[in-house]
Amino acid sequence: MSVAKEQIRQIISESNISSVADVYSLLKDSFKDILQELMISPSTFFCKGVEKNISCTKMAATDTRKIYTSRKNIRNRKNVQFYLFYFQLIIRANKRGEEEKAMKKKIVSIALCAAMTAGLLVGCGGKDSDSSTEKTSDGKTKIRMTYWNSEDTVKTLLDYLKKEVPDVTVEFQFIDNSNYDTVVDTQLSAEEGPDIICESPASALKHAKLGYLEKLDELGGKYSEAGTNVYSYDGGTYALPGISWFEGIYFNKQLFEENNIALPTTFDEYIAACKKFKDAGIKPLAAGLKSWEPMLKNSMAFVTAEYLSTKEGKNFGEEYRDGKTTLEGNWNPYLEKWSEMITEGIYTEDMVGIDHDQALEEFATGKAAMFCSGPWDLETIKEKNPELQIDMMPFYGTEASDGWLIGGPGCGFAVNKSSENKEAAMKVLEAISTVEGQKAFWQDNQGGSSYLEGAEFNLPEEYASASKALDAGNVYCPWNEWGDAASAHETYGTEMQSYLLGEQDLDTTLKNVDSAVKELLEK
Amino acid sequence: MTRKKKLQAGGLGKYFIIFIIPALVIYLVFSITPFLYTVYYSFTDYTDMNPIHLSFVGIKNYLKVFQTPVMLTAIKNSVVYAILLTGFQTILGLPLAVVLNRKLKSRNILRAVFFFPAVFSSLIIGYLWNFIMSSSDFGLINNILHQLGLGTVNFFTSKSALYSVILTQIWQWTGWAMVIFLANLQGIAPELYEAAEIDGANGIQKFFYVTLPLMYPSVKIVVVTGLIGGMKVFDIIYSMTSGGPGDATQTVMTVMMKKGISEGFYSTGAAFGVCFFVIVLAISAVVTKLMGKWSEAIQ
Repeated sequence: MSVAKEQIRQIISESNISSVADVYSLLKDSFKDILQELMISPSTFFCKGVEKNISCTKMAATDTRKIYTSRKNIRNRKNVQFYLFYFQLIIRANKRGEEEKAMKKKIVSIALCAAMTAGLLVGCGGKDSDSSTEKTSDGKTKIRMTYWNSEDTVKTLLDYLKKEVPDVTVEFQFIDNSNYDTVVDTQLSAEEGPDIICESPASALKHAKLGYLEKLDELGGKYSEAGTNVYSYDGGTYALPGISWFEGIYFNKQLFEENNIALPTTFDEYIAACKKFKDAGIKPLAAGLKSWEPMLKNSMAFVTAEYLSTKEGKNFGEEYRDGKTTLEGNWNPYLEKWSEMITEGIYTEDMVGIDHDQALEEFATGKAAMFCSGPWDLETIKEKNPELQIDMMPFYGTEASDGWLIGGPGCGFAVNKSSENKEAAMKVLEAISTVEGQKAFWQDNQGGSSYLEGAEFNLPEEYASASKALDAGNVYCPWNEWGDAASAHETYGTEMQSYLLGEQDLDTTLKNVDSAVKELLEK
Repeated sequence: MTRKKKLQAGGLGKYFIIFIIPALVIYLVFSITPFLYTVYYSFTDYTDMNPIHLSFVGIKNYLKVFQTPVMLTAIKNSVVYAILLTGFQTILGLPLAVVLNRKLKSRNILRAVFFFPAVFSSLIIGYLWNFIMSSSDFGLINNILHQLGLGTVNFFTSKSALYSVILTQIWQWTGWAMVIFLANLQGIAPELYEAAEIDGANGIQKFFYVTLPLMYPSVKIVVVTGLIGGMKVFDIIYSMTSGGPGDATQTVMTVMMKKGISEGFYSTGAAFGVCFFVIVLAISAVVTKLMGKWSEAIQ
């Protein structure tokens, strides 16, 4: 070992080595023979021109390992190891001095970095101190309104408001439906909610209970009871019903005529009509059962016609939301009957592999005779097939009736109690609560109807066969009455999917919904 | 003679703290603090109806997690998903990488083709496969089957839906695993193969005695990230099945979104999150340990 050390010292002093590269080039020549023997080419062995201590040492270490693992090298490996070891020592000694210089530069850059980060963090917290009473430069009051539908669905309304309430600017904010409640809840609990909130019946009830909403009894009086009762809590009205939504059964008029099938007027006739279509090789009902919605609405419409609209069933919703009754034991006979939809092969297991858009496509292209949906899909259907002759029929019970549609107020306008611009918000609501205001809102939601007394609009011809049900006011949404448990309608839908697939019987299905409702009510 | 000196990282020691602080602060504020809050909320009665005056309820939320069938289904589904996806992408990705590491003329194109699906967001992949697997006449697979005179295959029954989703993900992520393996393969010194050849090893022997043992680092990366990523799966489920039919494809994240956030059971959701954390921790520990054994075995 001492011989090797001496040798290297000598080499260094003789060859005037001042940098790592010098060492490499020197050693490269003297090592050439050994390396060739090792089957490692000199160029991969040395880090040519690399000035960095650490990576070189690493490479040297890897190469040592390579030399060790190579079988041919038993003879030479001791020698090689010596050289590599000293090689590393030299590199380190050379580099240490330079590194200390570099370190000082690094400290300065770290300090800069830290200062920038601190600046960033401060920047986050410091803003929006004077944004509470927002007035735009021209003296208008700015208020914020949130909604889960896109701006297109309220465009005419916003234009109308601009004209009607010139001293208020309405800033429309779209929040996607799946996050809507979460976002609005969080904002409200921090007392920073929007000034006007579009509420679903369930969220309106929740917010009214928590005291976030302003009472709107006076304006509410202008609307019909059917619209305001889903937004009332403890005797007060907390939101003004917007244009209603409804869902019925779109049908292809041409297919009905061609196959000589009469429009059904009862549930049994409906099943019979479906069977005829099946015999003719046409899919009777297109349904995207990948979603939980179609079976929820279809079955609930039947229960509405058979039970909820009758004397016995009238108070079911109210009792259910108070936890006094259950689905299981009450709804069974009706759903048992409705299950003919499944046993007759109208709803099939294969349909859980189809989503809403694909079902719509089947209907629009004439592959299916019927499709359950509402006004929001009409435009898409017509776009896909402008030739389609389309009409809508309501859902029927076993007895002849005007039929029923599933639906209710689409969104309710509520005012935030802790809003700084309450007056401006009220002005806007007043403007909405006029026939013109309703008309402006209806413009982008055609097919729906207004709950404002005296506001009536023409029904587009695509809904002709549903007009009787609409005129009779047979538009009802059972879960709107479930109060705090309204969101359990989704559970109902998913449980129905399991029922369709034969995973569970009807009793279990309803029991599962009941327990989900119980959990929500106990919250 | 072979004493290993520990590298002192260039003697940076005392300055490390200054380097670390910016990242540490961000990590503390955005990661550790919310986590501790989650743990705290899991012992309270925090819901959307009771957002302010929280009181301590003990382990009630944790009991509820274990009494809620959908949460147990979700954990089971997530574990099945993570294990199957990781297993298949490793088993399929390794040979694929070895083949594409050879001097094929078309290897660059093939590498690109196999890696291509990983470029897209899982959401897009989900919507695409929705159409491919649809049981309507517009579904690509079923359309072909119908043309061949065969019956409809339903990919989305309660039993098959989860596996259909996993299938699309294997398709999507095997290429990604392949790329990681390729990088590792190219780092294996050719001398080792030459040495093995001199010893008379054939192709299969070279794979099992040279390649496989040295693939340890990349397999570890693929398995650990695959398992943890798989446990957290959300986007593909959301776009393909939304947890349905019924609750057949609910995973931990979809249930957490549904129960913990949409339905407002914040505290139960928090407890569920903590349970999930423990499960992932346990799985990671087991995997790391197994991987450690492997690395010991090859050294």
